[in-house]
Amino acid sequence: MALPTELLYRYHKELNQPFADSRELLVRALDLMAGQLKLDQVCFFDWTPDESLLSQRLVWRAGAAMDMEEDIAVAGGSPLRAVLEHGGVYVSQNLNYPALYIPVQWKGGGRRLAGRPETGDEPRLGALRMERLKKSWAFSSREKELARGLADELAHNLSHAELDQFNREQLNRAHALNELTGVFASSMRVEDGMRLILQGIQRYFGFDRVRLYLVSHAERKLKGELSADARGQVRSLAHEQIPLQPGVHRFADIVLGNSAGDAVTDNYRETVIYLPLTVQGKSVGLLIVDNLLSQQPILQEDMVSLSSFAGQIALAVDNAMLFEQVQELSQFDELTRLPLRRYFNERFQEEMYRAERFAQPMALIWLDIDFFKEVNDAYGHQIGDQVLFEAGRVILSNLRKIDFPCRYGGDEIIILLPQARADDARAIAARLAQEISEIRVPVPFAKAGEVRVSVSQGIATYPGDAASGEELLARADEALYWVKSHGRGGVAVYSQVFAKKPSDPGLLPNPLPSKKDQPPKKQG
Amino acid sequence: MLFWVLPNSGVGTVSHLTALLSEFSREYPHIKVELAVLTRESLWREIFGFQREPRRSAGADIIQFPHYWTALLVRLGILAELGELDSRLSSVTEWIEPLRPHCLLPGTQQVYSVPWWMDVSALHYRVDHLREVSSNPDEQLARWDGFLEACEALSRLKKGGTYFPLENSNMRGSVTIRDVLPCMWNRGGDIFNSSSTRAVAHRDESLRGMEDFLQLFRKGYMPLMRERGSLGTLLEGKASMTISRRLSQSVLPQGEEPDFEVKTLPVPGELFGSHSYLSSYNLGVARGGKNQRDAVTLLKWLTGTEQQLRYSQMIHAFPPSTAGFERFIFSSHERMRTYSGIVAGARTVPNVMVCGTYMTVLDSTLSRLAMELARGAWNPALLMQAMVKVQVEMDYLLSLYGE
Repeated sequence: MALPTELLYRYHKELNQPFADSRELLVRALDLMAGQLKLDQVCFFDWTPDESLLSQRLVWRAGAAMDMEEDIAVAGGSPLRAVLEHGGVYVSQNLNYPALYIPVQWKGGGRRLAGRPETGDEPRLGALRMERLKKSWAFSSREKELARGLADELAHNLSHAELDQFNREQLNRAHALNELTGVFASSMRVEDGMRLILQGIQRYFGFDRVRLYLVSHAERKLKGELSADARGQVRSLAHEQIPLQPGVHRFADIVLGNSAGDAVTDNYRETVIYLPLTVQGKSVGLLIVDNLLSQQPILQEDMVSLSSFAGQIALAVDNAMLFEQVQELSQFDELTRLPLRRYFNERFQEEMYRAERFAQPMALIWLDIDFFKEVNDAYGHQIGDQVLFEAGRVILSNLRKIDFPCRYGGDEIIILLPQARADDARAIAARLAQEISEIRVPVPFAKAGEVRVSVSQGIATYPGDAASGEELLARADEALYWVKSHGRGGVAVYSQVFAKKPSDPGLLPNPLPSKKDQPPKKQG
Repeated sequence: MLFWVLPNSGVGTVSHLTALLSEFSREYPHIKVELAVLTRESLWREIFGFQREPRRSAGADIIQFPHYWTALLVRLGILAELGELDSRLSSVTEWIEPLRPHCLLPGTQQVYSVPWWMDVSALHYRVDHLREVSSNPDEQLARWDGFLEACEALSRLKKGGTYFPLENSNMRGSVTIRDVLPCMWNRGGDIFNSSSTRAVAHRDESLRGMEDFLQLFRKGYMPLMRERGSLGTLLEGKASMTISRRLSQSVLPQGEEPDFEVKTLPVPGELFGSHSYLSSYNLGVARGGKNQRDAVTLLKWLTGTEQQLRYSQMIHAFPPSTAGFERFIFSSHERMRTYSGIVAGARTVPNVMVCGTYMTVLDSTLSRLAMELARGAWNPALLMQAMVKVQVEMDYLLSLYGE
């Protein structure tokens, strides 16, 4: 055998090169060790003194490295424990072939788990087990000395490899955060800004799931917004509403700053992070990230990055909220909550395109509240507004998810019904007429004490009645005009009223309010 | 082509597979297969790492994994649909019945994985040893209390040294939920409710089953967390019994029989009968892999009846195809007598998205409890507290990721 110093030098040279990670270094190191010491098998263990546990990570045997599992409980006061704690070489007394245990101690690369207290620059601990499966082939003193030297050299290289790995990860993290800043910036002026923010955090940090709750100061609630998970799915959390009061829910306590940790948060401190979001001292929400599905501990570095990013996240969320509010104001009528004409026109074009492209039917209802001007004139605009508000509520709650209503102007409402034929539209119109006829707006100074209204509705269909969007609107308007000129309070389908006589089923009678409840006709 | 495999035969995994794949290389010389042996834990880590950063990881082309991970791996977008890659892989009818749902994305007939080999738990005992303490071992070992009495009698009889009545078949030297499940089922417990929508490992009957198994360590009948290789085995006469999922010496192929008799029985029963844990190790092809065609070729070759039989025999496991399993049990009267009943009464865990996480959490919880046992600091309340925590976490996960 060559002198240990020469072997150690060769070993040093072989290991003194960049490795992708500590595993790659270990594989190379165990392979070299086995060759130099004529070993049949070498194992690398992690050593956790607090748990008295040697836990196998890697085995080299017959030229191949394999991840392998073997747990050894190391009793306090045992000779193996003494060697693991104080250094040296331990010759196994339990195995029936020669085997050495040699501790390996190296400086960690800075990685720590979230939720673990700061403990300073603690060394990482491991151990090698070098095995010769032939009973008679014991290790000489010189071989033990060489084995120790190889273990020390390995420790030295592990420190470098882990530090390199840590630095690379930090660099990747910095790149990810840089990209994320771009995502946040773009989220400030696009629709679905919240979705972009959550997907960005989930993707760049690689968490299993990210959840966002927003603070509603007006309602004193923490309201679920969205959740993005590892499958790339984004789900609404709108069903989750938590009163923002101390002691009601731990999320509320965290937002209110009353949480000093409890049994639940302590249990999951390595896999869940709660991040309250504030802008200029005002709470805007709560971000929760977790690795519960993968059970992979969240690294301290990720927690620090995320925390240092909390201000930006909060600002992005706040801006996205403002953007949504502005969007809503520009797209929806404040009184009826129905989309406005401009928004409707965009959707109308999209739906027309879809109907043409996929040869799908579409219908349009043009609805007008009968005698609405008279209601305003007789009872005032406040009552008129209430009538509109109630009509809007009824319409929004009686349509299918794919239908798209719009306050087209004044008391005129248009409802786009994708994938609907005349009969479908007629059924929806009949339901709306019935529901609206049941609206009661209290008017204390009116004779009947309340106002009731009816609606007239004209229906046109694509492609039966019209070949384009403009034509569809015009035909529905003509059908509405037909109803208005035939006594109001009914439903007419264009193709049916203009192809048939008024007595035909094209005109559907409406449950008209009794005369006494109708607003007075204006004279002149 | 990179092939991620589990340590199917411990430190012999690479040598066994190299021998098997040398034949594959002769048939398909243009396909080069590189093996990476990962433990369940490191495979789990790699899969989530790959899922997070597919561009930065060297992902596998073909992956071996426990059967109950299929749903999770599909949902994470890791696996390719096999039927789309090769129409001959779009059916699961050739596998034994209980393993079929584990090849599919739940709720669909889309095949994403196929079983490669399987194992099933049973009790194996040395007839010469047991006859020293029992007039009718088969009868005594059919019941859990009779089994405990035999353990106690054996430990009194064979005092000292490195002898234990039971050999610990757990590769880690510790305990996993897969070891414990038969005892839980035998007590009427389980880890999931019948619809797999709730976690029930904290219920009394489940806890009693876990305690049954853990007391084997507590009473010193079975070694726990000792150096692998430091303890005697059944073969060396330093143990008399083992509850193992691998093929026992009782039915080893010709030329491998020991010079003493080993008998195989179902896991000793309790109030709810006797159940075995059946698990298969499936193969799947990575979605978006560069060598999908080669991966499919290898997958089909490995799971063909002949290769299944060959590899199962190498690692003392069982072939999972109906044809392969029939050939296995019909090859000897002893195999037929021993294993047809055990497999018929075997159970498994469901292929639902959170099952992998649940088993992982149960394993790490049992590992922590095993540490307490090894330290002699065991307290029965620890088990209950730990399982209540697990149940809360799993019910929460089921509410999020339930099928």
